[in-house]
Amino acid sequence: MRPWGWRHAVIALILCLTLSSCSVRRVNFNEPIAGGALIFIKPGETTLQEVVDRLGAPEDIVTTTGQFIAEFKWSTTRSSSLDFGHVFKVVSPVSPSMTLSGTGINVERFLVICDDRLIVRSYAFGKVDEHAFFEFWPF
Amino acid sequence: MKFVRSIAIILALGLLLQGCIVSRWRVGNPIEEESLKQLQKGTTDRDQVVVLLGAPDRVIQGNDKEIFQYYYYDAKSPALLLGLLNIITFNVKSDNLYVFLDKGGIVQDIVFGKRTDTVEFTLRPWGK
Repeated sequence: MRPWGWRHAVIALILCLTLSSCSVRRVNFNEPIAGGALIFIKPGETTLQEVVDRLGAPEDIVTTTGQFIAEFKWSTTRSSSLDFGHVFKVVSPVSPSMTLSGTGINVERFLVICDDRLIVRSYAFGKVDEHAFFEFWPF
Repeated sequence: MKFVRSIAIILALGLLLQGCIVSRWRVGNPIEEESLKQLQKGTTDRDQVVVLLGAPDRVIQGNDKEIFQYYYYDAKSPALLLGLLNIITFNVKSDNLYVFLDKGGIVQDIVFGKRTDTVEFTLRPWGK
């Protein structure tokens, strides 16, 4: 084998060993609610059950004076990790852990405020956090 | 020849499916829609609700009402551990039932939403 061929082989081996410790994880909790899906809500007319029929049930209902607040929640959690310690498997029976890892949790909320007859009075989205697709770099 | 072919198919399937993990997680009991139909606004009382649906997972109080909450979570988790790259996805959806009881313990309203019938074994770590 030519020297250049050996170099390629070594690089490929190191890449394979490095990538073999690459993990991508994702957790989806409920379907996102888009603003466009809410045009049917008419404050003072639409009932909470009508909202639930279209969007699914809220995760929580809290009470305030004369009102009920229904909280719809959904989230996307992305986590990825890359363990460079696997490279040492080439020369050592023990591979030390040298992991770069990152996790981003995007929790989103949609609140519906109803009166004591469960008729919608108003609604609002919570503030959105946006995390990157891959977050290997923790610094 | 037939035996060799069977072995080859089993080996091929084994190689194709290695590192493939499919798992399912459930929290709580599914909310029976048949039981829900028996709840009548204005007549069913607290005890009958408990007989039909069991004890609530949570009780919320306020505005002279008592709210029984029942929930059920269903998660489907496919994973592909290829060696070069490992992908794991966890899809979770929830069903929630809220039974509103008035001061006298009579059912006043029922709010129920079901999402768990649409949980999928989708392996998709990218996208929104």
